[in-house]
Amino acid sequence: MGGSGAHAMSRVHDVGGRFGDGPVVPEAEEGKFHADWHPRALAVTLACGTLGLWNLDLSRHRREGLAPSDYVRFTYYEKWLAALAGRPAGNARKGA
Amino acid sequence: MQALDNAPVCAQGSDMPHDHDHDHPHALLPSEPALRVKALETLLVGKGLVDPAALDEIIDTYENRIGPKNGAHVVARAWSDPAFRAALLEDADPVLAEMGYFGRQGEHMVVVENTDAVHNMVVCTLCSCYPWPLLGIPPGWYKSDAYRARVVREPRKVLAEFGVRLPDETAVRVWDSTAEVRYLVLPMRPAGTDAMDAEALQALVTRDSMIGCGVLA
Repeated sequence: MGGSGAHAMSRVHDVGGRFGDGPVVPEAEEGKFHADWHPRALAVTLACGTLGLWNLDLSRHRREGLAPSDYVRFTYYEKWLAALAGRPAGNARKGA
Repeated sequence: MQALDNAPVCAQGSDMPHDHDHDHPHALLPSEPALRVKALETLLVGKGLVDPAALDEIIDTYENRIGPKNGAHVVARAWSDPAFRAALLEDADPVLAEMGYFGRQGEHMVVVENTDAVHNMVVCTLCSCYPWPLLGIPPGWYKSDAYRARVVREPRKVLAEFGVRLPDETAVRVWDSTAEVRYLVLPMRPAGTDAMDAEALQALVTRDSMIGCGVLA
């Protein structure tokens, strides 16, 4: 829980304890990626880390700063890409 | 962080077009993720910032070289060697570093031991923090909303979805990972394995048992 003082509202990524989600679906240990582009997204993101242009803190900050409407509709690696490309928060869907 | 890789929360899958406006600077990148990652890769390689061979190396590492076998190696050794087990539970980092398990997304490790009295589970409620050097990249369910939201509220129900039922007298402790601190569960050694050597023991250890979502029989 990040905030201090009066900031008791949670943000979209802070889902711990939330009600309304469905069952957890276990999966086999094989099959680490679920689409051909997922390992590419992982590799591009990690490679940018080695450039010194990108690190874990920045990636967390960017992913958690995605507009809530994007956060909920993006899949996992879509969030990674959106964070890496630096989509500014709140700029995703005008009037949505 | 959020949806299963292959199951977006909204009906809008990765094979369907997104409908948001493209009048911001990132409209330069296509919204379809497969094309988007290709464009990013082309851009970075074209600028000489990233070597394509380095990308292939990263993919090979996480597809083939780093995975739950590493964690199983540690668990089997802990079961076989009491001094090692004690050191691992006391301060995992130096012990793991000695075995060659350190680095990206596993810089500060804490190992928590399951007993008859306490069953430990690991989550990252805020995203998907996970001990990469020991377990590889996390499974889809670990990154899912459902797991992140529910395991801290109703861990026994979540365990049931993995087919695990604990005795009522066993307490459940859920550890919420941070960007810095990552957890590995040391599962209980199955009964009847006294005669097994470390290699045979290692083969018994599942990924889910080291996250606390499985028990070993």
